[in-house]
Amino acid sequence: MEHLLTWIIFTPLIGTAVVLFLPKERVNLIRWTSALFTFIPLLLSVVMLVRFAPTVNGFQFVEHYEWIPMFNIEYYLGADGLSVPMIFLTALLSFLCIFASWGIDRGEKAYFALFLLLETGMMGVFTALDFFLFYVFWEIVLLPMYFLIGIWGGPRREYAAIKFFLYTLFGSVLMLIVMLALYFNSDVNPDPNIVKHTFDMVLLSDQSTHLPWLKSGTVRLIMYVMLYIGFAIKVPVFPFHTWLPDAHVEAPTPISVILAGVLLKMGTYGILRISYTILPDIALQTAFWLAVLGIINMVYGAFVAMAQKDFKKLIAYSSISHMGYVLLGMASFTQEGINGAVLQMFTHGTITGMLFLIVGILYDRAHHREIDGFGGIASQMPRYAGITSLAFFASMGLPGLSGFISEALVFLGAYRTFPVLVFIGVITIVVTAGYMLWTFQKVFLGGINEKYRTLPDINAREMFTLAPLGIIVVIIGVYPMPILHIMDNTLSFFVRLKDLFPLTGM
Amino acid sequence: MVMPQFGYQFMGNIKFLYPEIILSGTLLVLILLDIIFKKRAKWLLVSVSIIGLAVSLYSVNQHAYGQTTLMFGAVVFDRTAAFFKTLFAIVGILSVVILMSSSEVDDEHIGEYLVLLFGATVGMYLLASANDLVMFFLAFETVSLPSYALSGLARNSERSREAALKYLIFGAVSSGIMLFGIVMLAGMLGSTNFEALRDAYSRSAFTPGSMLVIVGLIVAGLAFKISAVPFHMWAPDVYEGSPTPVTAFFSVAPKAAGFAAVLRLFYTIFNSDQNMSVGFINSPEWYVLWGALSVVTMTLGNLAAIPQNNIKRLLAYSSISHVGYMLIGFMVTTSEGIVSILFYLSIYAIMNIGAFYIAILFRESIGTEDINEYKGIGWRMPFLSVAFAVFLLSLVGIPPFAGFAAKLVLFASAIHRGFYLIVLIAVLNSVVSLYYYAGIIRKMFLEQPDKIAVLRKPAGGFLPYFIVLILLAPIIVIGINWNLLFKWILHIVGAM
Repeated sequence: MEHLLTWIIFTPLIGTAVVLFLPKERVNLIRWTSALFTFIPLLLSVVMLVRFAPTVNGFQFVEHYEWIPMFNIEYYLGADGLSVPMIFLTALLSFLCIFASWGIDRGEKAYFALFLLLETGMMGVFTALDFFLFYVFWEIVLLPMYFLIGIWGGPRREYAAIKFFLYTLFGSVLMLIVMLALYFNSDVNPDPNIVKHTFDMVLLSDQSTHLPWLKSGTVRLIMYVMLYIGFAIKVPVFPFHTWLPDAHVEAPTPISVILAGVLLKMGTYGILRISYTILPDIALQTAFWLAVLGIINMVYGAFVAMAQKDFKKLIAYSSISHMGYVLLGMASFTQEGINGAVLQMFTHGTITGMLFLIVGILYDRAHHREIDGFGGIASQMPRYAGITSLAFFASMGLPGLSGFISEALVFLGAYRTFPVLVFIGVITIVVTAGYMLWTFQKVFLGGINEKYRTLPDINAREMFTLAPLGIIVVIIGVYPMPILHIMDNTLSFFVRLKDLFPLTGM
Repeated sequence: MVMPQFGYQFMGNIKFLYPEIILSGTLLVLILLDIIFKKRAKWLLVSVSIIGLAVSLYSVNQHAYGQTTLMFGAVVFDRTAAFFKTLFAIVGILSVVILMSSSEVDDEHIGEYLVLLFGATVGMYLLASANDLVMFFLAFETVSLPSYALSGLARNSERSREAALKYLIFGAVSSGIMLFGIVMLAGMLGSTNFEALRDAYSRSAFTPGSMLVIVGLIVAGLAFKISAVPFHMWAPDVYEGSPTPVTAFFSVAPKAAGFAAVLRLFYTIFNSDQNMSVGFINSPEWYVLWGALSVVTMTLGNLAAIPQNNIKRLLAYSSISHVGYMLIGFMVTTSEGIVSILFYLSIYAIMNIGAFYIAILFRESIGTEDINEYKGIGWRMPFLSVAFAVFLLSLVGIPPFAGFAAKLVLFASAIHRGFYLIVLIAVLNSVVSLYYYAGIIRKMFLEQPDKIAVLRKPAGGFLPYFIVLILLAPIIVIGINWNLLFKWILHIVGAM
């Protein structure tokens, strides 16, 4: 199939246009049309998974065209072992979230149109190989997200939406400066007399294209830090995380799922795809600090989560904690560590997606999220309790479930590079188990709260949104080799950086 | 023997003056029609104006690609002039078109409005072609005088009268300061012709520092016109007080004329080797002058816009901040800098007029300019509100809208010269600007209306929607691919 990635990116955009032309009274038609236009990219991403050849070096499904020749901007797409899992994750979560959006009861047309636009933006981020194209998609994600949180969110939605927008825009304008600086300090023309600048990430990752100014260590460090801030806000890394609890608590359930499941990964993906490849020497020099920040995220996120009374806020902070694993794994520059980090990006997407859906289901029924306000729900909603326990155990990193594999790989890899940090980091496991089990106990076990005697158990539509994620969690937990096989070859590149750019004086 | 030569020197290729002649002719026709039909011929006047502007637009692009001087070198016709005249004509047409949707200028006074608009436009045409200090100042005043009258056009409104007076007083003072600078320049270099001034300057021993005083005086006058801080004080009051279509015109056309004037004057006189690599415009004094002006203008414009509740006042401050961004182009100096200013101006003109046009339509619908009254309007007038959101986001510089391309090209030109700090300040300013632009979007879409106000549909049936669509199309098309517009502008500067 020609132009596979283009179809994956732009099918949802076609969906946006189609939805806008549907009459707004036909809510069900709008829902099912959106489902169709997210199902097609899911199908195509499965085709991509099947046709992806893990052992081939470099990018596959490449599409490379001129876009704005005046600035040598290209429409350049491609996928490798790093982006393929992310594309699949995005397609899957987007499709499932359409079904989690059944409860949206006003402005449905606008909601689904924006949701589909959001998917286009996310897909673009994970496939773009031209920095400019990447930036455009990165920004396109902001617009629908602002409206989706701001219109359909909770009571403080306006504050949360603008906070999210301002924070992320702040990060991306710093990225814009670095992008332009890289452009004007690159030369891809072999003739020394003719200078040809480029936004091409693949070419920029070749250090010989950098002009002398870009070879200075200080300049590179400043650029790395600016890029890092742009990405760290998205992850979010401490201390840039304050937008996340607000955004998560106020966002409607499916948007929380997308936010935690996909948007946060755009940050770590960006660090790997851009910072690591274009400025590898600085990435190696600063790896220790990245690991420290990862540890802070893990431990701090877990402790703050433990103190939460709001179920959704607890999950939000657990996301911060779990994204810390990704940073720690990335910073280790070992095969296990980086594999673990990328696998954690994928598994966290599925697990946290489940968790947010679970909170949403409870909120739809009880209209509040106070952890202390429930009790004994398990006897009333046994199926719900069952699937919740699966998600909770996966989040805790119980062996046999996917969270265990990725976290174990991260610790395994990081131990070789930063043994002391890992000893601090393992506290997280205990704390995570603590708050997860506590929450489970308070909400599901014990005597039933009489108010909730009549809660209906989880219905078929809700089960449909949770089951695929649950199945993936179990499969990866039991047999992770297929997905590791997809990532392995690509990620070994990052490990080789350690030999290519040996550290001096550290 | 002498006479033909004199005639040729003076009027040689008169066809180059056709655009100005057409405009002046239309101006006279408008006055006559207004008198003959006793102020009851709105549609006739509007059609004549649009035709007049369109013909002059056509005629500009018929002849002007060349480097011809007329009237003993007082006016020059080159591609830069052609670019600005094209821009002025388009802005003029748009201003006339959006006038039809507004009830602020009543039918009785529409003739006066159009005559004044034409007067200002003729002045701007000549300013874009000025090649002599006297011509320069005369053209400058030809732009200013109708502008003062335009701002006071709504005679029954106290706000409008106050605006006109403020504008007049500020304008007169700054013109005086500028004239002082012009006289000193002519006195020091011994000529009024720009080319002669350039030759005299390159032969003279004046250091950039000594020129800075003169340039500073002239810049003060020009900064008033483009409403750069600290000469911006008049702008919010005048913008708020003037009828909204006039404000839309003010927010774009005289600013563009001011930029044209800077390019004409300084880039001819201080550009000794045609490459902009030596001389005053490449001295630290020049960077500091424009850099400081730019930083102060954009920062103050953005910060002052945040607390505004009146949409016209808010857009006034926003336009001040945009001038601040554009001034970076002067700091950059290189032809890339000039290209980026022209590119920014073209896009800014469309998105700003678009934003003002929707403010007009909203005013017609809900009867107020107060942003707080926009609550929930997004769900009741979805098309206009979405279009408004697009214009505003484009003003912020969010891709894929044209405003992003404009900012990108501008910042790229600065980064290419290594001016990182000012770009950093500018992008942080963009983030600040998001706050107040998004504030409008938030009112429109995120908030529920307090009371269900009566909405009047904008007059003119589908026409307003059609006009919005025409303004919206370039914002999206250029945003996705700006190759064509950029190429055209590059072509223009290539001949400079």
